[in-house]
Amino acid sequence: MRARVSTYLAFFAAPKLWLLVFFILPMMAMLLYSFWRVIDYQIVADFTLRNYQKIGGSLYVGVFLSTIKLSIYVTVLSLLIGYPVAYFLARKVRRFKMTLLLLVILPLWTSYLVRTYAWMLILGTQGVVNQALMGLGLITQPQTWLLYSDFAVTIALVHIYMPYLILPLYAVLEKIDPSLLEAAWDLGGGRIRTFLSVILPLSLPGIASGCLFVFIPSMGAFVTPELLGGTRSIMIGSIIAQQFGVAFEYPFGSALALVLMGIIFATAAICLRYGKPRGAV
Amino acid sequence: MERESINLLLPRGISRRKVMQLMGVSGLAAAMPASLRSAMAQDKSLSYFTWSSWGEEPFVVKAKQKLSVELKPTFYSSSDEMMAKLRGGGTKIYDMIVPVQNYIGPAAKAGLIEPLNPASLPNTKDIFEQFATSPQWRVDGKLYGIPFVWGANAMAFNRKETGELDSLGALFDPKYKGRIAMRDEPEDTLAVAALQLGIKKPYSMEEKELQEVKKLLISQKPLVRAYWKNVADVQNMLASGEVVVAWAFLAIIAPLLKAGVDAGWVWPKEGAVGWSEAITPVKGTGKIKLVEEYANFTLSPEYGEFMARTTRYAPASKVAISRLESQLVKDLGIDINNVGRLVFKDIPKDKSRWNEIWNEVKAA
Repeated sequence: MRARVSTYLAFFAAPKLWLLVFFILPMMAMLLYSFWRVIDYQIVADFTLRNYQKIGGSLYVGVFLSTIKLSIYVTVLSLLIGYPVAYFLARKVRRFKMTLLLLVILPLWTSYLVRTYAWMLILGTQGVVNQALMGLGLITQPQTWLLYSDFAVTIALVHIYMPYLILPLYAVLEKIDPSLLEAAWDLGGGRIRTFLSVILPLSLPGIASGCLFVFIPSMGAFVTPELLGGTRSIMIGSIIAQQFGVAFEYPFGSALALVLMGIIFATAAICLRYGKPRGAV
Repeated sequence: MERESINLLLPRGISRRKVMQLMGVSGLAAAMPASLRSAMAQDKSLSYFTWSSWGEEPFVVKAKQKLSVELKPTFYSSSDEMMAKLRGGGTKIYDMIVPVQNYIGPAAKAGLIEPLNPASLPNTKDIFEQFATSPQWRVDGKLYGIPFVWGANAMAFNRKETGELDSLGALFDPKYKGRIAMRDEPEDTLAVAALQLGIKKPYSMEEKELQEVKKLLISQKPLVRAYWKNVADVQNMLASGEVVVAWAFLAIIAPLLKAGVDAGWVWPKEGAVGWSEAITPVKGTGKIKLVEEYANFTLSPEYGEFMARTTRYAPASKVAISRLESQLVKDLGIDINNVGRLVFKDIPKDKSRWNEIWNEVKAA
């Protein structure tokens, strides 16, 4: 009996304790803070809905919407580029598979910040892209919209987060039973038909989790938009960071972070609900 | 555990005394011989929480030579970091800090700092009047520091592209469309816009004036290439030619000149945003006398001259400045005859409204 209790503790209580300390308690603290306010640079623990009312105003709703829009662009672009890569790696490559997979992961070994700064060198007026285009005579003036714009932020985020989409997608695509494809061929399905009615539905779980892995961090991004964004690219992550920095508005920052988390949880729930494999036998 | 690994675990510059104090809290010090403990309590060391500029090796050596004080510096790189670390238990570790004037009110109200005795700072007599008597360094009649260094955030430009400039108008001039950089920080940028509009006291603006400022900043947006967050970024923008005129810090000018950019620096005639820094005791330091001794030393002509020569920042001591050759005074980026142009950074009347206005500008 005693042995069973300690086994229980080791296997169930420990993870629960971990969750409690590192997840539930901080979340509760944030929830509490979001109802407090700051007076004279001191956080006052009274109860107010003021922070949430403020978020409901057009300013912050607008920032949330533009953040969602940009994150969707990033996710869709990552999927369009990442799906073929994952497919190729999972089903077409025979030799050097590990090497190629390693190449996908390789960028993750470099600091996020370094990868962001690298885009400055690539997209700047003196950057590689502008110099190349001018050298080829395709443009006469450097294109300034490349850097310090939503374009730059989108490209950089796609580059930074795409590996997180490719890996789960690869895992799912690799597991598809080849006999299903053979059956589809035998039944007269062409390449496109086979892809659309067999491979794509079976890879839905990979698409859903991969997209989530890109969408979630994009929603919270703030370093990349601050460094590469133009005067119009303001994302909610920057505003939250500001509340915990210069502004010293922890309560408002907590409320914003909770709303952001709510949006992310809702998105995750939808993705996981509709991300079940369909058409599978 | 090896010595190196112990040092790795400690914040940089933490003194042995503080380790002992922390050990004392946990009851460990009780196990130590009494003689050893009293020897450590009498040491002349100061745990110094500061910008890296004031804690570099030459300053540590100087303090040792002049006052036999052992400085143990730990560095912060923004005022917010300073405040956050003091709030998070730093008051138990540090003896003194070097805040900017607009953080004195908040830090005093939050009980993070301690006042100084004015009589213990005789070198104040050499300090420029406006710093020695500044109300920004006083809360409820108590003195929290006499600035030893000062300067201004102002306008940097690429002389080759713009020629000489002396007006804030350049930051709002369509001629430089897409080649202007502004700082991503409300308390600088809203003040700049206010000065451009001729508002004399930006930090006490009312809602109506804030709306005008907002309008001006929104109309400026198409001209602005980017809002910079870190000073290294605006330096890069000027160096790579992304921008030709920017609101910036003096610290970027020397590296730009070194990189071959003909960088100019000016306090625009409409105004610039001034800053000053002083030694301020941390709440609960047991060494207030020693802190005062060091604070007084930072006000001396000797320290001022030494600081100007090693860091290229401007001393607040008149005597120190008179000892410098005119070319060096020019390099300090200060404009003694135009100190009247400076608006010293202060806490806005409604800080959260300022943040909101700035977010509205950025979201527009």
